[in-house]
Amino acid sequence: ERADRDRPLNIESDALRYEERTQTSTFTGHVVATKGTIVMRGAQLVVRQEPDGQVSGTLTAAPGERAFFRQKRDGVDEFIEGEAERIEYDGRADRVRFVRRAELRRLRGETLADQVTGEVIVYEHASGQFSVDGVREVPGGGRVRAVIAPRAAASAPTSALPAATSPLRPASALGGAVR
Amino acid sequence: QSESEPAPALRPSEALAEPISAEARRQAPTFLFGDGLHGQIDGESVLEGDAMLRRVDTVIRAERLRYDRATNTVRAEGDVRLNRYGNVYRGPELELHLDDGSGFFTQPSFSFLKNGGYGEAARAEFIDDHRSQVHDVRYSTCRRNGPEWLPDWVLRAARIDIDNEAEEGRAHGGVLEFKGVPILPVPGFAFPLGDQRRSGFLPPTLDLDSVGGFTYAQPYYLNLAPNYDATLTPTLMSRRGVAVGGEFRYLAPVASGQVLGNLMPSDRLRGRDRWGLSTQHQATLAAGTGLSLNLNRVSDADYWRDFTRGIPALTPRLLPADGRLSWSQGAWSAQWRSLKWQTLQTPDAPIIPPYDRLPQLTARYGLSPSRGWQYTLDADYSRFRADATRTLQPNAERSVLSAQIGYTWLTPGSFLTPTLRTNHTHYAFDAPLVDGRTRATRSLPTFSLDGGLIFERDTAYFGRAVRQTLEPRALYVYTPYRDQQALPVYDTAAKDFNLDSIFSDNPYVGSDRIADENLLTLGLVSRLYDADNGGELVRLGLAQRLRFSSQKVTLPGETPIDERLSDILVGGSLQWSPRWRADAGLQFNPKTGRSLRTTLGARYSPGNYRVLSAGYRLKNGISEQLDMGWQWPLNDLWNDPGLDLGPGRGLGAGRWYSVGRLNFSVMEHKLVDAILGFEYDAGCWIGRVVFDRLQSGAASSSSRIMFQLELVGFSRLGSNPLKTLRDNIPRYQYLREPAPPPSRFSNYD
Amino acid sequence: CGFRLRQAPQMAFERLFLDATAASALGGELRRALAEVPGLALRTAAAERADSDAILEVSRETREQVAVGLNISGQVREYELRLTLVFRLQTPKGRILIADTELQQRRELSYTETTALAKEAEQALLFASMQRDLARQVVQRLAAVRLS
Repeated sequence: ERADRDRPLNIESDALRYEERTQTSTFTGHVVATKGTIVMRGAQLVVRQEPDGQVSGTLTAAPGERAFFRQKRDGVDEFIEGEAERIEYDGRADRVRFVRRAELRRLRGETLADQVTGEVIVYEHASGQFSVDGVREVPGGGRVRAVIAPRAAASAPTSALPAATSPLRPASALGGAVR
Repeated sequence: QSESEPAPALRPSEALAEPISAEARRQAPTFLFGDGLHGQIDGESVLEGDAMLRRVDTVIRAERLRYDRATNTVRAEGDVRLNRYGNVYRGPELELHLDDGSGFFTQPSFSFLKNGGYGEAARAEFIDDHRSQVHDVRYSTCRRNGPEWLPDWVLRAARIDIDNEAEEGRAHGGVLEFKGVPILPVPGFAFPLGDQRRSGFLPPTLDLDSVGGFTYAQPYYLNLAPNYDATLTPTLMSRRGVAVGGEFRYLAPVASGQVLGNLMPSDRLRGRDRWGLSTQHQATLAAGTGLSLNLNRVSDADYWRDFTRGIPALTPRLLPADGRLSWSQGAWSAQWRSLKWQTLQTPDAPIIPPYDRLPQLTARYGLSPSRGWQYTLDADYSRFRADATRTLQPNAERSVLSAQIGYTWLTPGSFLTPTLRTNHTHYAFDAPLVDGRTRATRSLPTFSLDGGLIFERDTAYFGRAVRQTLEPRALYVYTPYRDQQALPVYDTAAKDFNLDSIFSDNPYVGSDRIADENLLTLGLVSRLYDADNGGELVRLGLAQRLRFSSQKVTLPGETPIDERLSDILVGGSLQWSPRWRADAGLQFNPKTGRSLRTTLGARYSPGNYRVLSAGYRLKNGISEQLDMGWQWPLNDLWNDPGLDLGPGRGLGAGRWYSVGRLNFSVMEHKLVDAILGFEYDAGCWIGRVVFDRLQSGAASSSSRIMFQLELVGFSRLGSNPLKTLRDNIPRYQYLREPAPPPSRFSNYD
Repeated sequence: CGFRLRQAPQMAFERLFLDATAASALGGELRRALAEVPGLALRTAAAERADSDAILEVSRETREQVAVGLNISGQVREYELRLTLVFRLQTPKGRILIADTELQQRRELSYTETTALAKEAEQALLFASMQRDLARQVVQRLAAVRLS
């Protein structure tokens, strides 16, 4: 939500190292950071405090794992979740950048509505703008893939279809959604 | 998804879901792929770089795709390719509303899955999921197989309305061109997009006929309703005038049938009106009651000569008008039948007409289980009518009552069946016989004892494991002598002497003659079954009769049979591999050393569109016929076997096929019936030329050459040269059968 | 020479559902032939289809009478009678035990128009004989099925 911009950032982790010279503090080991409705989890988080008090951070996951990011959208019972090997959060612009094996999910209440995967995903919370880059940015990177749930039945989970028509139930969570 | 719900489990299904219900369609997600994607969470997303959108059965590919989730609309630019239930559209720019399927496509080229149709147009307007309008269009089923699209035939139209659900295209302001030559200026014209029945023109046929001169027949098919349709075929004959042929077919839950008619007012050949009618009708009335009609009538005795193959009756010169009302209930069955023949007499080959049955009432009570007691009771009242000046016999009413009782001991390896039968026949003649009698009765019993064994062994022949059976059989028949020489013959004739008829207790079929018998028939049959699939590979049979007293009862004009040993019967069939089979039957007279009845037949069909069959049939003194039929691709001659596309699809484009049938009457040294045809399959059209010659008298014959152009997938099959080929050439296969529509997954992106 | 009296065929299944049109004479002949197989429960009621071990489906039965010999004055002298049967054997779940197989029997029948009535009766006898032959061949093929 918009209110997250000026909420305090608190972080738990196994260890913390603060560097005066670069004004950065590095948290390592089971890092859990919360700021208003924002929740971030990962193996290592490097946080910089800007002079005007705004905060920006880079969250990286353990090798083979992916860091996790979640934020509630303004005035809507919806959450934005994202995962990637590296997550860069820019407090001032309220923008998050997911890099490598990036995935962005939008949940309505508990149900997954849309989902996008690609190499690099940039999401601006305020405007709701997002962009996903596949091959072009990162040569050899995967293609962009997005799944957009149907509007009408988005709220309730898709009930089992009448068996007669299609034996496959439309997948509400496609492969790759790692918990 | 919440944990409480069971994970979605896949259920085995035999087929992928072809039709998608509206419910499934509305709930389906939309998948987007591309090199780059940017957009607004609730608004429009723009996909770039080999972008693709997939939703249920619609796939769109393009350089750039703009998908607005609010209106569920897609705008695609740059080498757009749309695949909708297998139909593929390509062009520079597309707009499509995914909910109702409406939108447009600029300069599209399109190809339909169902019939392989291809077209190019200025613009396509999608009305909904199934209907669209294509403007300034060229359409054909000739595929594009090069940079340039040069179809052999093409339909140019200002507009074509396409309805994929009804599988129909309707051209407006169109002209049909074949190799650049307009052949059918077609203002408003409907054509099929699938193989659903469709009203419309069928391919015309042109004939050069020795009797009718130049003939042009243009059939028109009327799909009146799902369960009845009609085909009208006006025919122009240069030397004779105009004829109209009609065929009406109907299929209802309780009744079905067809009516075939042909009308030719003032045929210049005979200077009179000509008509021919043939109706078949079957209906099931109340429980167990059925009505069947088979009425065939023609206007005059020369009809069979002038309209060859015109009437579907089996015998061109003998046309039955046959009505039967039959009832059956468990062991009881009864039938009322009225049968009247129209015999087409010709001065040079008169026919002694068979008797009409006006009417015939039959009833039967019969229980014949395969083992234990069997008994049948048969009653038959017939009123025989015919032209006495030709039959030289009085007409009569005949009543027959026959009762039969038997018992069968049956084990898998043996059977024994003694049977006792009594037959009482009463005649009432319209005119006195030679000896003055106007009534006659005959009753006599028959005793028969039929027994046989079945031996088996597993062995191998030519390296193939087989199970061989050896089946000896014996039949003893005793029937006392009753003088029947003076009795006229109404429905009786000698059975063909073969392995089936030798094991019966009366050499005559029909009730007017019951031969005095005191004979023993011995037979031996051996069969070879394939060890692993049980198919019958070989069957050989041998039988002969020992007569203990001579047979005095004969048909008029025959002499009593004194030989103690009958002719030897040999018969067999051979199907060692599914590719070919042979049948043979021989009735060999040991004294004269000559065969009285020989039937030889063989058929070789190694694959689709390849069949060669030949038959030789001799009935001593009556007929000797040689019959040959074939359908073979000519390309095989320069060993280009073509592709195996499955039955009903031909063997690939650019191929010649030869088709033919020769029926030669050896005794009369004449080629009685000759058909020779060539078919050229160009892939999207088939050209056909068929030469057909039918002997219609000692010195006269009618021959004709038929041409036909068939536009595959455009004008439906079904005109007469094909019917001639199908009826006369054994196992003739159409080059295009209406195949079940290909699944939308066969053209999957 | 190894011949022994024929034994009753052993079927690899006990409950066989016969799916042939009731009215067809060939269907009747098939029922009679299958009734002779000991230990085989033959079922025809639709309800019993699901829980039988195998389903024998007669998908096509065609009778043909083709004039194969005419003389020069348009009179038929020879007929060929053909009875063709296409059958398939599958389990209720749809597993194919015997794929669609076409069996054909042929008989020759001489003919003259004058004896049309007699030839009509003889033709019926020949078709009955062909039906018995085909039914026996089907039983022979069913006996060769092994449920692997």
